[in-house]
Amino acid sequence: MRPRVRVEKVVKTYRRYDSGRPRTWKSLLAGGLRMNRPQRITALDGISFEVMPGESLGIIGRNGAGKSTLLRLVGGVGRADAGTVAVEGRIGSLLELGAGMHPDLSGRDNALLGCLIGGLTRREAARRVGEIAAFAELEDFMGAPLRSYSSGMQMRLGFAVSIHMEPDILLVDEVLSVGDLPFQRKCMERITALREGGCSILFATHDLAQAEDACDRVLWLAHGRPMALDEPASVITAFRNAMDRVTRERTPRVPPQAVRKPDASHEGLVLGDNRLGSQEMRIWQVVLAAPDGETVAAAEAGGPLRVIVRFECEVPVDHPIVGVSFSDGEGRVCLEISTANGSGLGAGVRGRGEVVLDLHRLDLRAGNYYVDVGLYERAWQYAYDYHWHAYPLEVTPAGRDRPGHRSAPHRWTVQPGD
Amino acid sequence: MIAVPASGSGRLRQLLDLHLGLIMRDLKSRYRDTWLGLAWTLMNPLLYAGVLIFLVQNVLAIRMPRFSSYVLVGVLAYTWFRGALAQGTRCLTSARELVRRPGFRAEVLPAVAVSSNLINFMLALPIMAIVLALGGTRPEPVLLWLPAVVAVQYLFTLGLAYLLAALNVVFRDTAQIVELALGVGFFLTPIFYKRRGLSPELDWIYTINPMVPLLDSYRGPLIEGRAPEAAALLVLAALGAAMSAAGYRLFRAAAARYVDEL
Repeated sequence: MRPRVRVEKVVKTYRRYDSGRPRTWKSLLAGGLRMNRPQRITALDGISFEVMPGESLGIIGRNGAGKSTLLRLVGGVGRADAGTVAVEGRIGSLLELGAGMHPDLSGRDNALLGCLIGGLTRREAARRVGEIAAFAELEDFMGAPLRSYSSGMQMRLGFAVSIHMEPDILLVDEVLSVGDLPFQRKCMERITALREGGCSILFATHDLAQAEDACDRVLWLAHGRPMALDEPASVITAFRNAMDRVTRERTPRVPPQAVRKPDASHEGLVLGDNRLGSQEMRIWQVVLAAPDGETVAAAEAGGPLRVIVRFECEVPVDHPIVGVSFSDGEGRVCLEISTANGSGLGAGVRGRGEVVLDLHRLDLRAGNYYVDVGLYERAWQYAYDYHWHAYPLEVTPAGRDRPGHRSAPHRWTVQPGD
Repeated sequence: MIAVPASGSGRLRQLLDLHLGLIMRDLKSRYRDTWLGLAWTLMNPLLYAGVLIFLVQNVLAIRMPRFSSYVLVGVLAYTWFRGALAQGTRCLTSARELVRRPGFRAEVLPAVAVSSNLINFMLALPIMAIVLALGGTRPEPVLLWLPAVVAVQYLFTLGLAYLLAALNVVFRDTAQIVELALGVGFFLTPIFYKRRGLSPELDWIYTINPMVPLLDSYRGPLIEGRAPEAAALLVLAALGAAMSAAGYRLFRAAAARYVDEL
C-alpha cells in the first residue's frame, strides 16, 4: 500500500511582516528600496512522516509549534522551502470552515458553494446538500439566509459541508472544540467512519485525551522540530512530562513577596511540593460548598457540589484555563473538568476574581478524594498555579454503595412477565 | 470513494463549476431583493450616461449626431472594465480565508471578477439595444463583430486583473491607486466626447489607453455600421493573452506568498 501523505525533511520559513520591506507604493516612493535581507522565522524544520490510508496521525505541541503550518502545507496552502510534501487523493479539511460563505445567501446556496469551494462539481454538490442539511440538523432552515443563523448553526453548516467532501485525506485543526457536545460527538463519529472507510486523517489538537483516543500515531512538535513520533501513549506521556518540567522550572524557588500570606485554605501548601506554577496568577482560596453556598467538607455521591476558585493576578493574563480534577488517595484522576473548551475567562484578566464550578451530580463512588485545582496558560503550556492534593473531599455513600470508581445516572425500568 | 482526477476534464469541469458558483454568489448578494437590486445596479451607469448626455447637449450646448448611443455604449463598456479591475485587484486580499483553504484554487478569482461584471454589462444590453434602435441602428451582419470585441475586452481585462491582483499582494495600496486611475481614466477616455485632434504632445494619452480602441470597436458596428479595426483588436488580444500568461504565474506566486503572511 502506498502512503497517502509523504512528508520528507520539510523546512518552512516565514518572512517577518515588519522586515523593513516597503509594503505600499507610498512607502516605496518615500523610502526607496531598502536592500536589507528579510528576516525569516523558521516554522518547521526537518519534519518527515508518512500517513497510510485509514491511518490517523495526531499532531500535538504548544501554540506556535507549527501544527497549523504543517496541516496547511499538506493541504497545499503555501510551499515548503525545502523537502517534499507529496499527497495522493482528494484533500478535505476542517480548516477555514466558513470560508467563502456569504451572509445574504441561503443555507442551501452556501452549502452548494461550500461544496464547490471544497472541490466538488455542481452535480456532486447538489447530490449532497440533503445529507449535509440532515447532518447539520438544519433541514428546516436551509432556505433562510445565513445571516439569520446563530453562530452555532453557521459552524454546524460549515462543518457538515467540510465533512461531506468524501476526502481521501482529512485535515483537522482543533475545531472540534466548537459546537455543543452531542454535535462534537457526532463529528468525531463521522471522522471515525471516514477513517474506517480508508480516509487518512491528520489531526492537530491540544486535547491530549482526544489525541490518545483517536490517533494511531502522534507527532509531537516543539518550535517546528519533531520531538517524537510514535504510538500515542508514549508520545503523550513524554509531552506531559516535558510540560510538567516546564511548569516546575517556572515555579519560583522561594515564594516571592507578591505571594499573599496564606489564607486559611492555604495551610499546608508548599511551593514546589504540592503547589506548582509560575505564580503569575495565583489561586488564593478554594471553597467546596453546597449549592446554597455553605462550606462543606463532604458531599453525597450523586449529589451536587460547588467548587469556588478565587484567584488574583497583578499582570493581565489572557484566556487562562481553570481546571478542577478529583483524584483519589493514590493519585488516580477520577474526573477532570476545565474551561478549556469554551466558557473560559476572557482576555486581560487581572485583579481578584472567582470562578464557580457547579457540578449537578458528583457521580463518584463514596470514598476520600482530593480536589486538585489549577490555573493554566491558555494553551496548557504550563501552570500559573496548581494546588495538588490540598483540598480533601469526602464523598459519602448515597444508600448502599457498590465497588467501582464512578456511579452513573441511572434508572431501572422493570416489565414484569405476563 | 470518489476521487477527483488530478487533471483533465474532471478538473476543468470542477473549475468551471466553482467559477460559476462564485459568480452566482456575487450576483445573488448584489441583487439581494431580486428586481430592486437589479434595478439599482443598472441605475448607476444609466444615470451617469443620462447626466452626461444632458450636460453636453443642454449645458455645453454641443450637438453631435447619435450622441445618446455614443455615450451609453462608452459608459457601459467602461463600467465593466472599471468594475472588473476594481474587484479583480482586491480579489486575493479580500478573500484571505478562502485563499488559505486547502484545495481552493485561487486562480479562479480574477476570472470571477471579470465575469460577474460582464454579467452586469449584459443585463444592461436590452436598454442599450432600445436606445440604439431608436437612434437608427438596424440588425446588420456587421453586428456579428460584437462577440469578438467582448471577448477581446474580457481577455485584456483578465490579464490586467491577474497582474494587478498579484501586485496588490506586494504593495497593498495598489488597489487604491488602481481605483484612482480608473476614476481619472473615465475622463481621459472619449466616453462623452470625441477624440479629436489633440496636440501631438498630448495624443499619447489616448494612444496608451486600451479603452480607446475598444470603445471604437464597439461604436463602429453599433453606431457607424462599419467593422472595427481588426489590427487594433488583434494587438489588444495579443496583449491580453500575454498579460494573462505572465499574470497567471505571478498571481500563483503572489497567492502562495499571501498565505504565508502571518
